[in-house]
Formats: sequence, structure tokens, C-alpha cells
Amino acid sequence: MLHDLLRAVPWFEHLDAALLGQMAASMGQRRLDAGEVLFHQGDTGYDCFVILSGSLEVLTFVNEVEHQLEVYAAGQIIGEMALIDRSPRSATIRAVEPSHLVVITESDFKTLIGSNPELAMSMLRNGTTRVRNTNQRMIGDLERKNAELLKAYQQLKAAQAELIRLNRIEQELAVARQIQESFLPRTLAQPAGWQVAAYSRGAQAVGGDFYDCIELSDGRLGLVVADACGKGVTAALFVALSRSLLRAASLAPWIFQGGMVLDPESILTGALWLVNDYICREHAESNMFITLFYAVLDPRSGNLAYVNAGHNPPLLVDAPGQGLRELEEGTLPIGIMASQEFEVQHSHVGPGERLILFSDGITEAMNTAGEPFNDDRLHAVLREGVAMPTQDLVSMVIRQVDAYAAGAPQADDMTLMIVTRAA
Amino acid sequence: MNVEHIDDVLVIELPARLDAVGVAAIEGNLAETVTAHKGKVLADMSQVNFVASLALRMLLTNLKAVQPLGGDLRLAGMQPQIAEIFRKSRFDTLFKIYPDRESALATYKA
Repeated sequence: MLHDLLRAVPWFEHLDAALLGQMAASMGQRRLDAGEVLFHQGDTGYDCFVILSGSLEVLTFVNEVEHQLEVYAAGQIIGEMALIDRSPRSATIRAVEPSHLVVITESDFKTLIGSNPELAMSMLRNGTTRVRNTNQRMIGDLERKNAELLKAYQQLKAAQAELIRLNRIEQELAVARQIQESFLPRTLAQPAGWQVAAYSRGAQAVGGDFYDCIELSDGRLGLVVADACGKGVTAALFVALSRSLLRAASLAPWIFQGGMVLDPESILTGALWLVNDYICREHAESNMFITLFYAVLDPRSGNLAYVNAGHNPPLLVDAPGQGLRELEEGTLPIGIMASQEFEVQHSHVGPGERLILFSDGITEAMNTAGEPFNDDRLHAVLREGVAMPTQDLVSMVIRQVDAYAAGAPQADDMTLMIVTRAA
Repeated sequence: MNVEHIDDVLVIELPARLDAVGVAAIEGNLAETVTAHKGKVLADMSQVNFVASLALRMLLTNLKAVQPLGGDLRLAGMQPQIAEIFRKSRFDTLFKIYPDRESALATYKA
């Protein structure tokens, strides 16, 4: 039976009948189910196998991932490499379907080779083809890896260029931030019997808030807190524009018109009219607006004349810190209506009282749950810090806002100015 | 952003969060819809629980777009904290504001 099966295989066809009979009698056989492994890569073993029926796949593992190298079918020989060079199995062999194999021992193998030089030649040919295929595969792999490396290198170069570009933007923003900081007063005037402290921090590199403390004629102070719509660069440009115009317009009559001392109402309405008119005329198409609170404080009397152009109303805190009231709201923000009239309102900061000017970035600072710090919390901090020096109170408010936000990203620019009159 | 026509009024329901991101998401579409409609527009703000200054700017831009064409942009259904922002910024003087959609539509019919 086996004798007949072997005769049909080219490997055995030239073997003389006696020798084939003898070999068939002593020959081992293996029957594998589909998926069954004949041997594993790395195993030791010096037999080889001839497939009588079925098919087997040659597998190798790279990084624990299985790769199929070849599929062998009936009539082909498997495992002769380990037999020839006595090295461990170079691959794993697994049956694709139920397969029937005969085991060729080393001595059987020598007999087969000796009986048939053609067979030896064909085996050499097989071996050579396999080496060539392996080389080809290695070259293919190398080419593929090379292409991947090249692509990765190009991506790296692009990322590097992007990084350089971003760095340049960042540097420019850093310069812009420095310039913007120079738009804030370097020092805050501290008239006798008064303390003034302020803080401003943008949500981005440059901000849309600003504060100012303008030393006006006759010892009076111009107190400003403003918030340009939006944030970032667009808002920052409008900050630069409106802050400069407002300061220049506030000081111009005094400086350029022979030391003329204007009443606070004229300073306020003149400066605001000019800034509003300029922005409405020159920048109408951008629909930008600025909320701005501008007060002229006379430190001798505590009298406060102010215009509130759409800014959130400042707070007036009385000496014991219990009474806390909002100044009246005023007119529309700057930059909306060219013909806008700015009504001047009046208030008074008495001994021991303090004025709190701020932007909505304080009260609308969000915690991680998206809830705002709100007016009530601000009022509570102000009451708690009623006896504090002004600078310390500014720091405490900011600290509490930051603690409330607890690392949530700052959504809006925040600005705070506190002006305290000694008791 | 939900848009519907009730008679000759374009009714737009604004989304909950009108922060910088929320505004950026609807700004283009809103401007296009409002400009194409030209006439009476009503922004239903009952869902809105946060407005940044950019949202005020967006509404102002649309108001300025329809007014010269004889149209108007009216607001309805503001939650109290939003009404507070309109009061403080005095944007309440720029817009006609109504407690709810029905009363706003009624004024458009009158």
C-alpha cells in the first residue's frame, strides 16, 4: 500500500523496487489534522518528511506575529534543511488540512539522494530558490522599511518646520505681551490717604482687558477698567488703540492747552466721545466694542465722577464691609453708536470705603464643573478682606478665584482694581 | 441651532453656551440665514445659559445687518443671568426684548 503511494511521488520513482520495499517497511508515518503542528521553529530534529497527501504551511514569527512563508503540497519534502546542516528547525510547520506524511530518516535520505542524482540536483535547486526568495524578501523588506523611514523623516521635517513656525509666533506673542504690559501703568499713583492696587491677567498670551490710573491735572486720578469684546490678539489690538486714545484724550487738554484745568465731566465726556467716535468711524466694519468704566476721582474730597460705558458696575464697599453696593449702570459700550452721549454720574468714596473695579473674567471664572465664581463669591471675599491692605486684598481675590477654578482653563481675561480711602 | 419660519418671522433658537466656541460654531450660518431672510427675526434665547462678549457682538452684527433692510432682530426668553448681562452692558437698550417667544411674535403681528 505505502509502497504504491511512495511510487507515485517523484522522490521515490527512481528507487529500485527492492530498496523501496525495504524503505517502506521500516518507514514511520505521520497523520496530521488541520491546524496540527508538525514541528516548531527552534525545535531540534533530524528527520525530514515527504507529503503524500494534504498540505502544510511554513510559518515564522516576527515580534510574536505569525507570517506564512509558503504552503507545501503532496509530493514535496519538508524539514530537509535541519537534516542537512543539523541546525534547529528554521520555521514552524502546520497542517492546513488533514495531511499524510512519511518520515525520512537521515540514512533513508542518503539512500534517496544516492539513488537519484536528479533528485539531489532538484533539491539543490529548491534550496537555491529558497535562498533567492529569502534574499528577495529581505530586499523587499528593506525597501519597505526604507520607504517608511523616508516618510517618517519627511514627517519629522514637516513637524520641525511647524515647530519653528510656532516658536516664531510664540516669540512674537511674547514680545506682544511685553508691549501690552507696557500699556498698563508702570506704577499706580498713591495719593495721600489713598491706596490703589490692580491686577490683570489675560486668558491667552495677550489680553482684551486693561486698567489705567491716569494722573490728571489738579491731583485728580483717572481710574479705568475696560474689556474689549473677545480675547487674544483681536481684542489686544483694540485694547492698545482704546487705551492710547483714552489716555491721550484725557491728558491733551491739560498738556497742550496751557495747563487748562477741566472739570471732571468735561474730561470724561471729551475723552470718551473722542475714543467712541474714532472707533465707530474707523473700525465700524469689525463690529468690535469695548466696555469701559472711567472715573475721575478727587482724592481730597472723595468725589467720584464717572461714566460707565457698558462695563459691569463697580462696587462700593463701606468701612465695616457689610454695605456693598453696585454703582449705577450707564450707557452702551464704546464702538457701537457714533452719536453716543456719555452721561456722567456721581458718587462719593467716604473715609474707610473702597471702590472695586473689575472685569467679568473675575465673576465668570469657571470651575471644572463649568460653574461661575459669580458675584456672591466676590462679595464674600471683599467682606472677608475688609481690614486688609489694598494690595493684599487684590492678591487674595485673585488667589480665591484661582483656587475656585482649581486648574480649569481661564476662559476670559480678568482684571481687578481696588481703590481704598483711609478711614 | 434650530431655525423655523412662523408666518413671516424667522425664529432662531440659540444654543445653550454662547462662549467663544459656541459663537464660532453658529456665527457664519446665523449671519447667512438672517441676511437671506432680510425681514423680521426673533432669537429665542430660552436655552442660553452663558453669553460671552463675542455673543453680544454676534447679535449686534445681525441686528445691524437687518435694520437697514427694514427688518429687526428681537430677543425672547432670556434666563435671569443673561438678562443681567444685557442690563449691565446696556445691550438691553439696543434690542427689543420679550419674556417669551409668544409675546415677541405677538408684537411682530401688531
